[in-house]
Amino acid sequence: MNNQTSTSERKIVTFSLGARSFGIDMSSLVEIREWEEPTPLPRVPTYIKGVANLRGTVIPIIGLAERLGWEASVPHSRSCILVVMIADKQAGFLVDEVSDIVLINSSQIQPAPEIEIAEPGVIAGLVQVNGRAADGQTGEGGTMVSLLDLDALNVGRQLDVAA
Amino acid sequence: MPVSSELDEIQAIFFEECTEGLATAEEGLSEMAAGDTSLDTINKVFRAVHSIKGGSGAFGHQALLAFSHSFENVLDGVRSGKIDPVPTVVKLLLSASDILSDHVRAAQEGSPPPSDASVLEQLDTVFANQGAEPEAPCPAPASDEADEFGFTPVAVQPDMLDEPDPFGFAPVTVSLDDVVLERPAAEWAVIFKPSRAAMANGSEPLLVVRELERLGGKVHEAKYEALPPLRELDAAEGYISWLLFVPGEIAEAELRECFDFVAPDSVVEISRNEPAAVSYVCSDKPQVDSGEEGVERPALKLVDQSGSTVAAAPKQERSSEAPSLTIRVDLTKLDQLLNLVGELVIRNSILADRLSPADKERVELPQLSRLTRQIQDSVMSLRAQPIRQAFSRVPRMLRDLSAATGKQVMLEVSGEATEVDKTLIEKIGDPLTHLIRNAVDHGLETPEERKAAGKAPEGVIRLSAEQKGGRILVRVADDGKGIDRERVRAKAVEKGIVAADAVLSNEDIDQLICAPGFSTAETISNISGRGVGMDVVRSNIEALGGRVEITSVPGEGTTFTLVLPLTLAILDGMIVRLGDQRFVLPLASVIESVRPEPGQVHSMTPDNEVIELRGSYLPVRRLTDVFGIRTKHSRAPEESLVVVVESETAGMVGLMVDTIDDRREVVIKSLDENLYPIRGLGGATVLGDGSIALILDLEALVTAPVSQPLNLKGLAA
Repeated sequence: MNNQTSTSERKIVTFSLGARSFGIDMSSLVEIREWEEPTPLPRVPTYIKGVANLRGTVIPIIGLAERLGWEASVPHSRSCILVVMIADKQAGFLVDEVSDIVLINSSQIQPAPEIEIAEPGVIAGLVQVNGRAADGQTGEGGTMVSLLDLDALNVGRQLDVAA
Repeated sequence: MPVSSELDEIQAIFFEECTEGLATAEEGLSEMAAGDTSLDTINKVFRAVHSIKGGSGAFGHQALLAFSHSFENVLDGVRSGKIDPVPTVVKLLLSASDILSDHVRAAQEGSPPPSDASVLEQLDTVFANQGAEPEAPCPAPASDEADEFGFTPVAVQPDMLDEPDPFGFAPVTVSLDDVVLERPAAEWAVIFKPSRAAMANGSEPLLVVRELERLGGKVHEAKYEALPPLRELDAAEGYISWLLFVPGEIAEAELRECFDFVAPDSVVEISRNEPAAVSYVCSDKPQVDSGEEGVERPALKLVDQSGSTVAAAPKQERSSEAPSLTIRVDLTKLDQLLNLVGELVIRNSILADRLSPADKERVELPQLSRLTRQIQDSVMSLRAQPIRQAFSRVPRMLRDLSAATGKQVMLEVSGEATEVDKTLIEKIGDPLTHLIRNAVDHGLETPEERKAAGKAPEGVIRLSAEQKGGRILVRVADDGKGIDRERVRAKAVEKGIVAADAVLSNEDIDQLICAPGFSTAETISNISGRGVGMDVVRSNIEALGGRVEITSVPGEGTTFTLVLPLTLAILDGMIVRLGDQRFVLPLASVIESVRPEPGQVHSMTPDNEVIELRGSYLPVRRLTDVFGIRTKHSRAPEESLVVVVESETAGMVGLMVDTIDDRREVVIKSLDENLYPIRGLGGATVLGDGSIALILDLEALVTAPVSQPLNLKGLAA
């Protein structure tokens, strides 16, 4: 990996779940919506909050924090739904706050160590992100962002396995 | 890479066309078997097989090509009257079409081709013996030909003269023959002038000319008269026309086929020069760009010159040349369109909800609503296809079944033009197969049994379709022995499906054959009798929102009726409220709704309630319990409504809901599009205010045990 001197750049959307920062590839993002209470579904895992109407398409709304094994995030005024496209299926992820869109270099991504998350594979890698200079938020050394592997979060797939 | 994927795509279209072609051939052959040996019917079959052959050659499916070639040869013989379509020949053609469909499937799947040796040999034998068939009566084919070419039946056809005279007639009796013998070759004169549009489309006239040459045609003259001086030359215009002569034994339709891909406004004139006629004069004819005029002319000229051409000729020309105004569209595109239109309908009603009552009265809104509805109907009709497609594979199946069981079966089909949603056609294929197999295997008796029962040895299966209100009824009826209720009952008791002392009506017993694991066949045949048939039929049909009705009269036969919704995309629903959520109940299952009087709902156990309704007791399900919805205060039955629904599995059941909101048509959105199917739900829909209501799947609901509530996570306490 390190011998790759590729300078391919990727755009990622960063967001927070509690105190943690996460990122997903911009290319998977369909849109960002305000939080709206979804219609609950019977007989689904707790992290599936229900379904919502996305311009005529019914999409599942996933509590991402619960999905990753943390305490459910309580929706608040800055909560958002990130609508993503995973393997031709759309899903909405409930996140606490969308932070930024940053450009990173693929070479900056480090493989994720086996960490506390119950399910391996959902974190594709870690990347250090410096806050935008204009924000004046540049912390010491920036923020550590965990890049999510969306395919591992595919609800359709997960539930097929569970069934 | 892109080239091969493009080829794959074209190949996929070819196989799609093969499927259609096979259905057409099957249909035509069935008509021929029923005695309709008109030229139209034969041509229909011929064209279908011909295009399969053409494509198979292009894609290098050698086995398919070889077989379809022999098949086509015989069809061509039948078409030109050299082979008489006697029942034995038609039967051979039918089995050839069966093998052809096996070939197509083999080519499609890349599996080894089916064994076709025996049929192939028979086809080749028939082809080799054509014209010499001893039983082929002379007048029949001759009169056929007469219609086409305008000979009176006494004249010997020029076609026949090319062959060694099979009947040993000396061609001396008719004076016309002498002329014919002097110049035995009747010829087609073909004038072809590609239009500007053809050139713009990139048509290659040379390909057409080559194709005609392949049929034995020769270019007689290329005409440059219309060519303007160089200064006025428009490079995009087609100025040159060709006159070709093609041997007379080529069928006109075959000639026409060469022009299949030529832009419709090109001049294509085909006329037949009978030997008696003077040679075709063409130099005096001004070139015309209008195709219409061009078509008119030769017809007139033909009459002038040969005098022997009948008036029917132009008519036939038109019918074979009429471009089929169809377009192939990817089904997903239609689905997307339907989805968008559904959205439009919803937005329309949102708009209506937001307008003030005064504005609603204005004309614009009703007009918009009506237009929207019309668009919706049109889009729905785009997906509608005649149910014939689902029926087309039945005759073949019956032939196989008949051969396997030794039972004689006659098929009567009606209502095959009934239009139903394309998805429905695909999905009723398997249930229909099961029903037909069942009818032959279990319903019909053997010829001996039938004779003993005083019936004709040949059993009849009636397959019909009709639209009744918002439903499609598909019936499979046999005139067999009917359901043996004693045996069905005994079997069901033995299998533990019903209790030995259960009181069952005849209808109840009939429905038992749809119970999972039920099979009465004494010996398990490889046709049916594995006990998976009928319950699969029922669950498949229910999954489509339909139901199976069974009526049976002992000794007279059994009728299975599939009651299907007109469309899978829209549901007539009742919107009920539970807590602060709304659900949709399929209106078709709703019998009535009652507001219970105090004491009308009795608790038998905490989880089991019944409602007394006109003297009988129905089980009551509280949807709040089934879904695990906790409302602030548990409603007393008197404050709720009980909607009585009829389910296939549990009969009449009362569902307790808070209120009924509305009754409307809803667009069904499947949950597995972005998630996966959830038991108890038939999908979701977007209501007028943009919120989502879940569509209840009654069958799954009424059978769900209360002890395992379908938890509604969001609302669960």
